Amino acid sequence: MLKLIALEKPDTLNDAFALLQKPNHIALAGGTMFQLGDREAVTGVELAHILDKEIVAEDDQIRIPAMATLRALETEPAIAKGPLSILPAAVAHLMGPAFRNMATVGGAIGARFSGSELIAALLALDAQVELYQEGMVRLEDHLRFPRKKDIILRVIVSREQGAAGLSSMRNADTDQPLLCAAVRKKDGVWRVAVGARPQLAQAYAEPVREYEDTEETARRFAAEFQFGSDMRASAQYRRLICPVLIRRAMEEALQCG
Amino acid sequence: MRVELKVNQKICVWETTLCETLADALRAHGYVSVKKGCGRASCGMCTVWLDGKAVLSCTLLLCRLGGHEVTTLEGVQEQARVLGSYIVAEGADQCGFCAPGFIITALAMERELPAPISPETAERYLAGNLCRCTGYKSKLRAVMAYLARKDDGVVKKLS
Repeated sequence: MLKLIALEKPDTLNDAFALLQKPNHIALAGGTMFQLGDREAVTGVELAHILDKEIVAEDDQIRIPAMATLRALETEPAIAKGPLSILPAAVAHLMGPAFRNMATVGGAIGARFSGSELIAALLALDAQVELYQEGMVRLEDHLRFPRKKDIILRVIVSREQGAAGLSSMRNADTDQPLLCAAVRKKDGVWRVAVGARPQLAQAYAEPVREYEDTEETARRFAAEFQFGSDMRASAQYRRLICPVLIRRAMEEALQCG
Repeated sequence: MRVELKVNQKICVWETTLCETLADALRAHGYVSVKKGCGRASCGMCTVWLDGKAVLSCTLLLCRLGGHEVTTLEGVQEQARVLGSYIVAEGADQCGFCAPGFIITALAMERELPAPISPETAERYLAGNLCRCTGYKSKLRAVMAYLARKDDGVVKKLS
């Protein structure tokens, strides 16, 4: 459990950013990780009142603010169909709606939650994140950098996505997946992201090879990822099912596309 | 520190600490319909409505909730009584520990989703509320019978 010793409610993003640079100051979003955290003597910096919550659907992109809840993403009509529908699908199985009414998109990304199916889906769609200090960066680069205490303002996903699919395996219906794969096929390139390995999701991209069947391609893509063991599954099991999940996601993408 | 919030339409000013959860505070102030099961946002026992939406009160810090509105089962007793009668009629209640969280989630579903709600949709919506006594089929039957009811005060069995 996180043990707060103070709670700061900054008036502006600038104040919030300054506070977060101090040692033992952490950003508070949806608060769902509060009981699972194990840090003591931290100061919480409240962000809920200074960040947007409403998802904005524009002609060419979807802007998902950091404080948008997973439930809002799940029920957003603008992404209910088409390749972006892998985003609601990525959160629909996580616990119940009461949990998804609290958990936020920014919280999942900011905490670099390794079991997040949403991060895998966003990586496959090559999403961008807008940070208060750094500005716009690719999500893939943001996740790869060492942790910086920047504030995630929103996630931006292009609506021009070609075709996309998502497949996952879980031990129980409402649990986080033990492995998930998200793919996108656009402009002759497959982009594959595998999450819950159990490490944080990673992406891999490669031009589409003609005359290669889906199963063979999926097997080749799966070989690009490393796997580990945890309480949900062993590395060996993950390695075995990864090509299957990638193939299913590819087949879903090919069907939809 | 002090926090002012509305609980079941009543303005409350409560003393709290930085680490007190909403579930603990509600129980301490007599709202004992709120149960603590896992205490880690996994079982759904502690479900309440925050500003009209179902949330898990065991992970919400009370100190962050100033100005918000909380509804517990005590605040929706009339609807809870009706749904409860369907739960009893279907034999969907044994120890009863999960019932408050289950009922308030089912009522949230009725408020949120457009009718008619299919059994598959209801099953998905209620998936986060765990029960270790009855299984889930009888609970789902009770909810579907409740949703299909006519408000004449008569409990109708679907099965």
